[in-house]
Formats: sequence, structure tokens, C-alpha cells
Amino acid sequence: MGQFPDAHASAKAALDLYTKLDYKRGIAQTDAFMAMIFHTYGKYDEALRAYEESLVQYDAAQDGYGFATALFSYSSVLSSAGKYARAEELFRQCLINSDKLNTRRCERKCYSISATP
Amino acid sequence: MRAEVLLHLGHTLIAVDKIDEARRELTSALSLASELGLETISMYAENMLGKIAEKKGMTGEAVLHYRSSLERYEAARENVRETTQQLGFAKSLPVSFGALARCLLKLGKIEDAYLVSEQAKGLKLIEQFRLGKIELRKGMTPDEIKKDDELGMEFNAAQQDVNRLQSIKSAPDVRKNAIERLRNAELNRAHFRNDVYVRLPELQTKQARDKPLTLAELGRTLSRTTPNSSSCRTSSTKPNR
Repeated sequence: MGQFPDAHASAKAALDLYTKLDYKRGIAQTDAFMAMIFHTYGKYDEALRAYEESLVQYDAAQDGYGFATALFSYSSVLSSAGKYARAEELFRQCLINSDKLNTRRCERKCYSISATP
Repeated sequence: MRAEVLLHLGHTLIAVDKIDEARRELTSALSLASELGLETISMYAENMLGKIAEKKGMTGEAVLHYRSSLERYEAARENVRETTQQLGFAKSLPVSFGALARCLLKLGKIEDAYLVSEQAKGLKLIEQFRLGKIELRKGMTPDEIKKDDELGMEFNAAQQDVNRLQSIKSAPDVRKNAIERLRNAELNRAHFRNDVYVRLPELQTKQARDKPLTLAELGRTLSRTTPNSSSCRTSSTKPNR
């Protein structure tokens, strides 16, 4: 519905809750969600910062798939922000990650149309 | 995820003019996406491969890629069930249509380019007419239509109130209340319509009856009316005697 302040406030509330609970995967997911909101609204610097925090949390939670997904999204933001060299480097890292994780099994026909360039 | 990463990598490589590398990655993305039935990724990959071919001056090859991209678009749209998403999905369409028409013009195929531009216009219009908001009201009972009208009127009144207060000097509290009222009206209407939509599964699977025309069907319709550009011009500009 395009209500950035509401979406941001809800995500922030969720983040506070997860932080209180010290639930790292929840923090990581919420950071990634906030980053996605920032990306949608063209706030690239904020999106990058939120993804960086998300990556730290996924790493701490030892969630390999979450980390790989967040790294891919982070690279997409870099590309959108015109930081192509770093984006290219990280996309190549994502390919290595996808080989390690064998993510092909996760790919289905119901692929989300919103995640395309 | 791998196909998606390859697609984005290709996109990034095009941006930094590493065309040959981009082509390699996009071809891999296309191959993987085709294998896995990921039509949306295939559609974008074909579009970008078309761009690369165009950059390299291979206009004929670009045409093939753009045509394939549009075919993939049709296949991908089949998988999008919800009507508003189908409409949103159509936003990505004009890029391939425009590029295809441009390439056909370069090749001197003016009639084909004309056909493509008409297809693009036709498809957009038909989707807008057939998949507009009327759909939802068709599934409502008379009471629900009445309720929908009331919620719509409340929303319009709140909107007008906000507009009026913005144009005059008013107390912040009054403005805040008006904005609050508008937001509530918008939410109430959205929730009501959402409930109707969820409760009536036939609205979600009604595509067979109200299915938008495919590109091939549109093409057939248009080729009947435009056998060649000169006859089309004659029939539209000169009255029958």
C-alpha cells in the first residue's frame, strides 16, 4: 500500500522484540526486511547498512541459507546504487555459496516476480 | 537462487560494459531457468540478451531474443493468479515491445513493427478493461455492493475533507483528525474488499472465463484487420463508395 512509515515502524518494533529475546535469526530476518523496505524506497545507504547488520546476525546464528540470501540482496542493492565492481565481486561469491548450499533444490516455478532486476 | 544470481550478475556486467562476460552469464541463467521452468527469469534473461545483440549490431538476433522474451512473458503471466498482480506484471512488458519494434524498424520491417506496437497497445488496453476493479464488484451480493458504496463514499468525503483543510489555515489537531479519518476509511474499505476477495475463490480462479488474450490471439486478430499497411490506410482514410 506504499506506507513506508507504518512498515518501518512495525519492523522496528519487531526488531526491538527480537533484540530483547536475543533471537539472532529473527533479528537478521527483520534487518533484511527493513533493508528491503529501504531498497524499495531508493534509500540505498540505509538498505546497505541494514543488510550488513543482517549478515552479521545470520553469521552469528550460523544460518547459511539466510546468509546467502541476504548477501544476494545486499549485492543487488550495491548494483542498484551503481557500485558495480563490488556488486560483481559479491554476486560471484553468491554463486560459490549457491554451489555449496545446493540451492537448486529450492528453486521452484513459484518464483517471486518482485525480485527481478 | 543460482539462476537469479546469474541474471543479476549479467545485468551488472552490462552496466560496466563487460558485454561478452554478461552474455555468458545470461546464457547460463537462461539455460538454468529454462531447465527449472522459471519463466520470469527466462523473460528477463532473453530481454538482456536482446539488448546485448542490439549493442553488437546483430539486430536479427536481437529480434529473436525479444520475441522469445515476450513468449516467456506470456508463460510467466499464466503463473500469476491474482489479477492485480497480473496488471502489475504487465508494467514490465513495454520494454521488450519497444525494443522489438525498434529492431524491426531497423531491419526495414515496417509492417511487423506496426503490428508489434498495436499488440502492445491492445494488450495493455484489454488487460485494463478486463481486469479492472469491476471484477470484484461482480462477485458481491447486493448488500455488499451497498456496503462497498458506503465505504467508498466515506473515503471520498474524508479525502475531500483533507484536501479542503490543506488549502486553508487550520489547527494541527483538526488536520490530524482528518488524516486519521482518511486513513481509517481507506483501511476499512481495503479490509472489506480483501475479505470479499478471500471469501470468493471463484474470483481468484475466474481467469478461464475472463482470461486476457494471448499475444498469439492478438496477433491473429490484428493480422485479419491489417493485411498490409496500404490497405489499412486506404480503408481508414477513404470512405466506401
